[in-house]
Amino acid sequence: MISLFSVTVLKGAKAALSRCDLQVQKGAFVSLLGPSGAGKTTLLRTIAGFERPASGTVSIDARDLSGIPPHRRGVSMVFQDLALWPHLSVEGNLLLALSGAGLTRPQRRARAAEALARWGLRGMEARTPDQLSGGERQRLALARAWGMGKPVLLLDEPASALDRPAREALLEEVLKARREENLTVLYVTHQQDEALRVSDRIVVLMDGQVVQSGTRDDLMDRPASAAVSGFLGGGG
Amino acid sequence: MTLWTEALDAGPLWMRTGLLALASTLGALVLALPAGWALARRRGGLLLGLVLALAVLPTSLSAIGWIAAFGTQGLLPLPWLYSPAGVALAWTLCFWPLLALGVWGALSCGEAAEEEAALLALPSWRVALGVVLPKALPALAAAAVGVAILMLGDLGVPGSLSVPVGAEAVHARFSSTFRASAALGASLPMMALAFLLAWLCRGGWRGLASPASDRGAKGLEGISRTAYAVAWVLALGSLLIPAWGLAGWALQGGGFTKALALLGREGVTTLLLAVATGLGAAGLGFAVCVLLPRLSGAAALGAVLLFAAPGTLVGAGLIRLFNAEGWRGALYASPAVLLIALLARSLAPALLLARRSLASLPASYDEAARLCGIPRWRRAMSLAGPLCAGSLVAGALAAAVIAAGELGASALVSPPGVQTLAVRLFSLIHYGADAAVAATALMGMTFVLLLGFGISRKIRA
Repeated sequence: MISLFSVTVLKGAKAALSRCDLQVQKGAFVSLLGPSGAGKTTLLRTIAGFERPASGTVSIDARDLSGIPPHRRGVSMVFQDLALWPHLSVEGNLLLALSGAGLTRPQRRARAAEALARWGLRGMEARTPDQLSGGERQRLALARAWGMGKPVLLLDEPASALDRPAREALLEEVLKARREENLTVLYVTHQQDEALRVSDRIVVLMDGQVVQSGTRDDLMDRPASAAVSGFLGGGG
Repeated sequence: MTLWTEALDAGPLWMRTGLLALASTLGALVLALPAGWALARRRGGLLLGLVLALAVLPTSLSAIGWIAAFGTQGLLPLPWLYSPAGVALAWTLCFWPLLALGVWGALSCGEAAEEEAALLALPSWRVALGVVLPKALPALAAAAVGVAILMLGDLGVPGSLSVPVGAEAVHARFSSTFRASAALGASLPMMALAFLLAWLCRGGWRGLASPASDRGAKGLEGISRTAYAVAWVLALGSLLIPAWGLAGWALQGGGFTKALALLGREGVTTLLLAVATGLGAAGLGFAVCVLLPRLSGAAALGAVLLFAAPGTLVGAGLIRLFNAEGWRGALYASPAVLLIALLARSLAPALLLARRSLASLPASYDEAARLCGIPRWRRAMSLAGPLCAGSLVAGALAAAVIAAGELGASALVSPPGVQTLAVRLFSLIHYGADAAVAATALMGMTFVLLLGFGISRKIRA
């Protein structure tokens, strides 16, 4: 289980997260919704270890993550800009990512081949990211994150640049991977309808705080405040 | 004499040098503005290559070129060339291309939308004078101050003209006493002035370091076309006039044959040292930025100081450091000390280019790799290095060119039997310049011209 207890993250003098509390059950698909600047990305980056909380604790499976470097936290992440390494081929991206996993060269090659097949990238091994379509780039980013074999997958608006059918197809792939491997997924999105449709639970952030967390019905039928109601009503 | 009496004693000298540098900077700014504007707005590849080549041309070489043009035996003899006024003229002509690159950076901070809004109400020349230039003023001032600081530390021009101002005076004082305190004391007023000016312009440096890619409003294209034409005339004039003078001089006494003999020994030494310095500076700059990112700002400041200070001061410091018993003495007696001197003097551009290039990479590239558990050295070799390769190569080339033309430090620390071409030419010109010097300078200019075009291709890439 991922737990954030009273986490505050400062960006200069401003609190990007302010005494934020959150619990995510193992194997759950949780969407993070909220207006721009609410702290959604900061929350993911804090779990990943790229932001250091000024106060509060972050833990996964009751293990306090304070001082634990990103690669030892058991999380992988798809970044908003995908962060594909532009000078490397599709296969190169996967192999370099796997080079830190303590695998032998044949094992890395085998795992990369598995990821290519799993995310529909077979035959594109030699292409560089700029030779891929938008959807293929998203799949490569997901393949790279999935290939690491970590139990927690953090997705920071990975499909924001895609049209609706491509986005939905990609989301189906993510859901399938989650089912097959019991991944815990935290999904930051601006697409409320998608979040409401696919998530086990939805967390609404505003001004760096979790203002409501619950199922689709909880949010739609019993919004915690007029602000949440306005946000869900306006964006859907 | 104590350090402070040396410093006080040198005060009037630096006041004179400061005024000369101010006049030369203003002159250079007038020449640099059209080229800087043209580069910012039109991005002509050939023009960039030419300006860049002239900018990186060592002042010791340029000075010989301008002596060939305006010296007693030149195309247009100026009787006052070997005077402070001559130094001001030569500084203006040698440094305007470098300042043009600064003006390019400063004028790249503009935004088309702002200019288009102004063009709805004002004619284009008023937009240029009232909107574009005032917005770029802090960065322009920073660029001008940077060039003025380089003039204060330059030995090539006053040394070649034998006019005792600036770094030439520091060199003369140290050479007569061989006391590091004499060099430091004589340099202190200049360094204090340079620090003060650089600090006053601190806002402008940031503007220069982060130019926008916007080419400005299309309504100002008329001005850009004129600036482009003027820039070409100035750049070609700055290349062809000294080259013509040098060629005429070189052909008089079989200069090219003698120059080839000169190039055979000092040329090879210079080439080897320049390559080693270029590779070393680029590698060191990259390593500092990647492995010690928190220290890279302080390292950049230190490197800029070593670059801008009179080379004599750096040489005197190295003599103080290595002229001792044991391993330091062994190092001092070997060409390694010359390499250290050249690295110290030329690290700045390589370090700054590496730093800027690394800062331009999205942080998420490195974060994604950190999540994968890729160690820092591997991230440097597999990600940052290849992604910044263009800037690293440009930094290496710039450092190599600076090393090839360095005078102040290398004249002092060269071990017996090892001498760079710049130092050799510097010595020869003091015994009366001959055809061999002119021919060597001409070949050096040609080489730097080719290198400048190489660097410009990398920068544009």
